[in-house]
Amino acid sequence: MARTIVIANGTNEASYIFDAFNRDGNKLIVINDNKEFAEEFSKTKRHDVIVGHPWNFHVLEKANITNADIFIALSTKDTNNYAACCMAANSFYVSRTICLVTNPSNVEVYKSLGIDSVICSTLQLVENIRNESDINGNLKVITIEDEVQAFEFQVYSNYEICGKTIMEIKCPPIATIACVKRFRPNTENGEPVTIEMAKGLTVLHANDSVYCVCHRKDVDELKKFMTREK
Amino acid sequence: MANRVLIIGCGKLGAALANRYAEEKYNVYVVDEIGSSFERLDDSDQFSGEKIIGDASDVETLENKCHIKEVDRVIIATGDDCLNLFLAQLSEVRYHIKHVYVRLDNSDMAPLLFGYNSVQTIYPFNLSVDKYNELVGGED
Repeated sequence: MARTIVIANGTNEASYIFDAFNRDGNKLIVINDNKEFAEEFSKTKRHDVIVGHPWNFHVLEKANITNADIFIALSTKDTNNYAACCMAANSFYVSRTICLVTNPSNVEVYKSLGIDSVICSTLQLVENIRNESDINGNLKVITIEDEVQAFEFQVYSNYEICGKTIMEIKCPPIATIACVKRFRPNTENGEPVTIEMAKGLTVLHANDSVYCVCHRKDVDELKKFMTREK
Repeated sequence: MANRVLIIGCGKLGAALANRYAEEKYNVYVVDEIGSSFERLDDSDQFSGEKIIGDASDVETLENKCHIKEVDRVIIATGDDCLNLFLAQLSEVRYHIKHVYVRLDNSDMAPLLFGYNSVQTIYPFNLSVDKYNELVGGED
């Protein structure tokens, strides 16, 4: 679906986001307060850049961002991004604001003040490191939204849950088993991987990948339960 | 909690108000990123308030160093409108401070504070224009 996306400030990340979304009929509006970057960007991407602070009403008015779908603020200063997102949402009715921050504690704070999405590369790095260490232990945790996490693990033959139905394993109420990915090299339609929505009678076999959803605080308890050995 | 005031930004406005509240025997906390800003306070060494060097855009600094949870009045007077806007909204929404005064150079930000009932805004530019109009009116 074609969308109007506003890219406010940023340098390399602005270029990368521009390239990623400059297709499928999306309309991209680029605003940047670095005049040299704006000139270079216009030349290389052949796309107009509005020069000015993206938290300035008149700059946003000139950029014609009213009713845009997404506004992404990429300045290096957190409060500048905050103010730009506030201006975009309140004065120009942008549907969704995305704010880049460097201070991890601003993620929760800015969301509580009304910013739709707040992204902190430091927090994401921590999350990636955590996931990497889980992969080595046959477990993968993916953050869906703040406290909600998807949790993936592979069933080994020595696990208590192996060979049992979902009903039989009595999953604690802290989590929901969403689906099971199963490798079947000899299926009739030749499809080696099937995704089965989890139901009470779904049997968990060795080598199945199981996907659960739970609260962040319950991940460790869920891990212990699912990987308990016979 | 009574008579505790936090002043964010120790420029000319922040320092003048810090001096005033110190004279009135308020418990004054004044924060600025730059230590030399406190030289603007009257007789800086004798100033009865607490001078805090820190980044007020950081919530942990506000809570752990600036006593923001203990005050009933905040004056936001940095030279950065974006920071001032954030601090004004934060003071009301997160800390429920009853009296929030914020200086904004750019009056285009005014609509972003609609509905924030504790926040009162000071626009130096508008005040200057009003004063000018008053002076010019007096010529007639």
